[in-house]
Amino acid sequence: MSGPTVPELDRPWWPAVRGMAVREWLAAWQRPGDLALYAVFFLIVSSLFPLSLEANPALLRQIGPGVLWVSVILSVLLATARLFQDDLHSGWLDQWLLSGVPLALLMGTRMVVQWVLVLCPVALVAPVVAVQFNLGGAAIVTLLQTLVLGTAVLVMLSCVAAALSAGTRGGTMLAVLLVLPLSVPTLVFSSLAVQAVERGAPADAELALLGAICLFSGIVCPWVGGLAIGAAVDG
Amino acid sequence: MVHWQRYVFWFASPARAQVLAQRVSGPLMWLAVLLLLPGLWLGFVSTPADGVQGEGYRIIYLHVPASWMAMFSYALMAAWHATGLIWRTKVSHLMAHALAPTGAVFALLSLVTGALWGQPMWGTWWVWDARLTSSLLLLFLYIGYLFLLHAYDSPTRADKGCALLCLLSVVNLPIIYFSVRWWNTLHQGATIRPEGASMAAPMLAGLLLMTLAAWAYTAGTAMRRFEQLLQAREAHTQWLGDLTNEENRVD
Repeated sequence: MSGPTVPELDRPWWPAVRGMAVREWLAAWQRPGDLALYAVFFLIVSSLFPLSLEANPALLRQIGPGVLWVSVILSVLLATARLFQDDLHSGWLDQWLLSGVPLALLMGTRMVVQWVLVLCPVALVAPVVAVQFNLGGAAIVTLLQTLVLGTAVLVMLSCVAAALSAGTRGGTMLAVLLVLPLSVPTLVFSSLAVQAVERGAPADAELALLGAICLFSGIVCPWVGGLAIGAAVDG
Repeated sequence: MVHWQRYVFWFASPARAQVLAQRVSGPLMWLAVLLLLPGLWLGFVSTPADGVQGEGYRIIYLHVPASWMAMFSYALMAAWHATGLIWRTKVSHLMAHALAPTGAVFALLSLVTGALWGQPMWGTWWVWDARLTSSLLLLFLYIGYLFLLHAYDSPTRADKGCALLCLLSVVNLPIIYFSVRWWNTLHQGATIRPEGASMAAPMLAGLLLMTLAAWAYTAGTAMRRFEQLLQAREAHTQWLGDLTNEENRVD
């Protein structure tokens, strides 16, 4: 490593992690308008599809899950794509490195907090939009289940992309471009799950696969993200 | 001192890697031409027309090598980046950076030749079946990698950041393929694909020659690009100055 040697932490790391999580949470709730912004963006983007297509109920029910999920992806990506830009410039990320807490752990904490922050507005608005697309009750329940799992994956991927592109000229769009191909499995399986339930078939397989992707990302993404943060601070 | 390690990491030294790349890139390009000419002749002139598809099937000689090299290049890039991250050899990262543009070009070529084949054979330029969609996503992954590579100012960060992106994407590539395959078989959207069952020997020979030519071309351009990247990075060093003077010296 070309940076300064990281001090070994001789006391437990839990207070540092908890302190960071509390700081993130409070900082986000100081500006509740931002959270509402994601919900409104989600609403507006999903409204564009019935506006631009022939809005008959049968068509809407068919395209509903896909459209909903694309709107979720866009909202989540835009919410988290610039996550590390300011922190890098302000020196907060240097404090991460100097604290001695493993970077993967700090990264994972930020991912969890962001996930909860993103999930709240999206999960509140999604049933409303689902009703607009004529999806049934069972489909809405499945939609919420896929949202819980899928937003976790998306938040993790976009945190990694944000860490990779922090401080570069590309900015938000670069991070979004990096995440979109990687988010395709999540999109496909979530959409398939809701479509299956809408047809009356069980969605266990799709949800299981989503869960697997979520667990796998949960192990890989904090680790890779931690390495990316290390590179961002050093480079 | 364990001696075999010295030879495994022989070319991890930038100076030796530069000399190797300079010596090897020219011959590789010639090899590509040498393999391309008989391959093209076999593919486009000598072999008979296909019983089912007529003359149009010949685009397979461009399409298949391009697709294979696009996927192989991405796997190679991931392998080089993994080597660089594990053993901290900076030249490994440069090899991956050198492979990326050629891989992207082959990915694009595979999509374009596929569309040109699809139109007379299936009646459509594009269809969202599993293989086409995951090839398109491979192209997007290449484009994302190239954008990220050019976004960085610092070389060390470029090496590490691109390495992380490449390894994350390569893990995702099979997942993308299987998810899209499941999506498409469930939706029954795919049209019947032409069967590439048992090929006649001259056709197979032509295909193999074209594939090897594509490999030699990729290796040659990657080596050439690697030379230039290494030269740009190590411009300040003594060994590069000595090497250049040695080349330019007129005796």
